[in-house]
Amino acid sequence: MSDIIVYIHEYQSKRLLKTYEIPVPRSEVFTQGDSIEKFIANFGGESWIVKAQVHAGGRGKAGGILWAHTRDELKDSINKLLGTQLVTKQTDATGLPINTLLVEKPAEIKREIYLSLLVDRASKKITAIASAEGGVNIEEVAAKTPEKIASVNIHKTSGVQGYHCRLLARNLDLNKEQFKQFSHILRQMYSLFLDSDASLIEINPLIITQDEALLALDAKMNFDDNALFRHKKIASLKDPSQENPIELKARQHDLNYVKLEGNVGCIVNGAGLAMATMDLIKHHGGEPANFLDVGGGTNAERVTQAFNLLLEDENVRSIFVNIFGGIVRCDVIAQGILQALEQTELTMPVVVLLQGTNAEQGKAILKDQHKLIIPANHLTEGATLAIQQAGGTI
Amino acid sequence: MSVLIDKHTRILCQGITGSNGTFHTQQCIEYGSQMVAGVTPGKGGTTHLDLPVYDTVYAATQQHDIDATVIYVPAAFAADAILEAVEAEIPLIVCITEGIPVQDMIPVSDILETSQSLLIGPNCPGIITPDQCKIGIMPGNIHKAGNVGIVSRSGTLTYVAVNQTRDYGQSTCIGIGGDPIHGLDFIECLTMFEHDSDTEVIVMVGEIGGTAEEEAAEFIQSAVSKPVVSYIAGASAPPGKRMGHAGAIISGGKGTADDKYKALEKAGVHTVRTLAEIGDAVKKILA
Repeated sequence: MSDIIVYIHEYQSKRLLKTYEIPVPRSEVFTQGDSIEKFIANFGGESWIVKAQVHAGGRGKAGGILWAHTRDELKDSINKLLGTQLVTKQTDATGLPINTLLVEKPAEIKREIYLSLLVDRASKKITAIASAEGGVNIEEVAAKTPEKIASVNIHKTSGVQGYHCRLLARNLDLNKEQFKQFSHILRQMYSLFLDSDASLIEINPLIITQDEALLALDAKMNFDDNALFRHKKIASLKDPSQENPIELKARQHDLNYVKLEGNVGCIVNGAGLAMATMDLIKHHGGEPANFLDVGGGTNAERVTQAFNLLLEDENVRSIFVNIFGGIVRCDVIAQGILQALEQTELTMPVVVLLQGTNAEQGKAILKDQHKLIIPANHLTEGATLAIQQAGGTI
Repeated sequence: MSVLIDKHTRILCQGITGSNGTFHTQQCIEYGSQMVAGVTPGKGGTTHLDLPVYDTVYAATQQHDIDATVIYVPAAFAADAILEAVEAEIPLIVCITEGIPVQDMIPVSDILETSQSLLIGPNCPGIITPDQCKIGIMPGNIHKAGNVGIVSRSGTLTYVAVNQTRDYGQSTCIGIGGDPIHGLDFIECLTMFEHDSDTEVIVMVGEIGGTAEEEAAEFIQSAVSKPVVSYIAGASAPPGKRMGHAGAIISGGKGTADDKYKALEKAGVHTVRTLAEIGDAVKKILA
């Protein structure tokens, strides 16, 4: 299993929109090694917006979007952002590297609205959402003034019809020409959504400019990882620099791993049990260092890879191996754990809980076999032992 | 009585000649399930594990009475396989395959709405009525016939719940799967357990993300008389982080573990905050 959502950068989203004839501001990408002089000469203009390209929201408030009104200011903004880390409310304390900037011609905003498409799990349909008020506070708008939000399901058999557009636009206060543009944008977005197996396309804000035209000022797109096999072009847009290095390594080994901030490392089989193990550790006052699912039927090789992965996280003080043996028997897994321990440079205590098929045989195999192994008899005992061994919380 | 399947259920396997199809069909036969035939396009006319193999589901239905089909077909072709089973009017379709593109499941759910077929999954362990019939990949040996009905979004958590209720045994266990778009939901399973004379207690294992548990809570309050024990996985998941199950994504501040627990408690459900307590909660009710 790998990650479910594929994220791409704003500049990549805007290129896709442009391909689908959805109007976006004039912009140019600036990366390390580009000449600022040349860039300004080519791009021209008198004022610019410099936007850090990272896979996280909250860029504006974090100082990742700068306005430049002179060429010197543009140079300063580029130098200030490029090659640094951006920490936003959605990133961890290290932040994400800014390797690419999007320099954009500022648009004259009269009004900001909102338009998105997503797969809605409740209705099992593609749903379009529009709001008369867009911008950074869209969630607040939805919570406080739900009447400003309109949504409608689009059946795959019908595609976007005129009534979808009329329903969505009913609160948007668009003139005839703007409604035409709005309908065009929705139809094109929908085509892109189907063509690319997107799970989300969000234009926020979709602005109405001073000269009354619609323009996609910012765009966010997510794609379905399970469908990437049929979208090589989207797959090529992945940016590994925006991913946690341990998570990236995990994926290369086909391990389902998410880094967290705690100190109790977790190795679990099954995503649900992995999540429940984190809950258990937290419930007893500890902090899980990670989510790690080694897969339903696990083996020695995968456990070794998992141990090696946790070695890369310097916060980990103890490891809780929580395996439920099903068709893969616990005695086989116990052998695997011993083998894995021999092949890694692990120095921290490893609490092992084996349940399910042949659990007793598994426990017998581990008994007094390795100085790092602390056997546990049930879930609560396993979690509390692992927390104690980690020395409490960080 | 039991839910959906029993010792008489006759089962087809789609993707029977693949490695998963082969291994788990063997396991199901050993458990005592009535496997009657398999389907692998291009291999019609052959036999596999002593079962006749057909090119299409339709061809299999011409030769056999089939009550249920189990699908191990690779993700890229799984939606196709489900639709083929619907077309052949198989009453129960169990799709084990994980990693099906979510947009492939949209037309599947549209078509299921107007059909008589029921879908379990995808991305699920399947369904088992202990000592009678196992359709799917769950380890048969941990189950025991009894009166706890289990419904869960996660495979391994179902097994943990089974393990903790081994003193009482299970009527039927259904893994409905963790994908955003899936077949049977909690409410349909709760309805069946409510009407099943073998089921005395229902265990419902949920996950963060979506609002299926909240809807189930409302339904329990109005239409379920049997005691329900519930655990929701993912209370410690950081918002917006992906957790491997497509369903387990917290979106828009809705679907948090707290929201779900509140709704369930309001409906009189016996909630437990860790998976370690599921067995004790059942014990308290049945003791």
